[in-house]
Amino acid sequence: MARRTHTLVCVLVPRFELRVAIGGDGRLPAVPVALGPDPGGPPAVGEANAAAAAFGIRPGMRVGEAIARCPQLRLVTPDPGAVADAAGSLLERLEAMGAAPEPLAPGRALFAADGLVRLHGGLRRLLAATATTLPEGGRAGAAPGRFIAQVAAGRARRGRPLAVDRDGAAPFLAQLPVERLPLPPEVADELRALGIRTAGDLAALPLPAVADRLGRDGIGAWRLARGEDEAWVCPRTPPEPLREAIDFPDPAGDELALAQALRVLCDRLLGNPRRRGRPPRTLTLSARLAGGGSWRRTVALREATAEPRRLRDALVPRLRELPAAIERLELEFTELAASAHRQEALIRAPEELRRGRAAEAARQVRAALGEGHLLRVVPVAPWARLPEERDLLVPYDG
Amino acid sequence: MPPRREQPRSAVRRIGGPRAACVSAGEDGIPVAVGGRAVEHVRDEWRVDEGWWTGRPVQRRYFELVLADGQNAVVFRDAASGRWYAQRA
Repeated sequence: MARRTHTLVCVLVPRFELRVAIGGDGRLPAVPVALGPDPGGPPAVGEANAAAAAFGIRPGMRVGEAIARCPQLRLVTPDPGAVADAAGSLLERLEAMGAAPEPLAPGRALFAADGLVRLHGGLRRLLAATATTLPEGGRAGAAPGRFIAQVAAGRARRGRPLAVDRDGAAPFLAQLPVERLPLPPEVADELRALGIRTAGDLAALPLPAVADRLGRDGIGAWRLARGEDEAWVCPRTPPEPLREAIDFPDPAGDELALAQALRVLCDRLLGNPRRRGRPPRTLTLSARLAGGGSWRRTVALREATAEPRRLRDALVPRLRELPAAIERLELEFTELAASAHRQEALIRAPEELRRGRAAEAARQVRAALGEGHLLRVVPVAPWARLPEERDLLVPYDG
Repeated sequence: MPPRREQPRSAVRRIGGPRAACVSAGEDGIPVAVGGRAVEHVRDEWRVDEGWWTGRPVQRRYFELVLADGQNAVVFRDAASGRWYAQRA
């Protein structure tokens, strides 16, 4: 019986984070440009364009060294919020054409082509349709395995997808440097020291010798070099984003004010009927920084819960990681659990009862007057010497 | 048809801003009457100099007063404009 061949398609947008941070149509400029350090992170540059790479600038290089190598280097503020949005948008476009993509990294995804080839009238047409969904600089490659498909996408050119079949996999990889194989760096160094520089050199070795010298890592790389790749895909579950945001009239950096804003966001999201009683399992907290750029943290709960206090306990400590004052705070329920099968307490604490009554009263007032009329005073800078800077009026949501 | 609901103003806003006040002051700059009511007692006085390092410095001389009718009031004189304001402090 003939073995069924699975074909995987990899889409890839090189230097995705840099393209998004630069904005515009996603084209990289001809002058040297690199992503600056993350606010609050180590002083190292991120992705760099080809002009910067020509000066020897690599991701992870310290800023001082990068500027010493290329004084005209322009540093762009990272924008992880926009990167996440752009990556999500790319996955949605792939899903819209019928694919079930597995996100590998921002701007890099993999999906199985088997069900789509007939739908689009052939692999070539499927790749052409895929290429139309990609942003500027995007490439697509198809191959019978996860690794080979990624290498094919990396070698493809814009608007010219590259397809590799099973028989052509080993010759396709033959000239690949051994460092590009999924090997620990010390194993790749050992291979280089032994004079084995390409995947073709490795594939030509007998398996017992590779196993004896390099162990399990070497066996895996040897199989890959011979074109024996894994062809599974773990597609994502398309999210149903529940998102709320608060814009601050002035840059806010006070923890008390931010915690109050977070409480409002939690209450709004928990009250959203689209949640249909499902407790959140993963939350994403993001902020637009006053000085430009954005900040983003994903919080996975050990146990899905819809209890406001437990959500706040998980989120408030993250606010201390904010590197600067912010203009906008956004909270998203990224993933919801199936349903809440938690046993409720038999006797509720008096504090919870009072809170429940207050929330019911607030709901009634809102029903009578409409949204935005019920407000609460939030102390944002109690130490301010000008009284008008001490408090804010914010919507009372629960 | 149900009555049209009044649209709320901006979702988040400041409170406690100064309101213009009618204050009469003596030669020493201390208020003697607020809104036509005589000042019975000056409980406290302080100055606020803020933002002098910016293009919009704030210089205020605050007074906490007890008026003749027993009410407490906090007023200040803005050094830049010379006007008097009442404020919750």
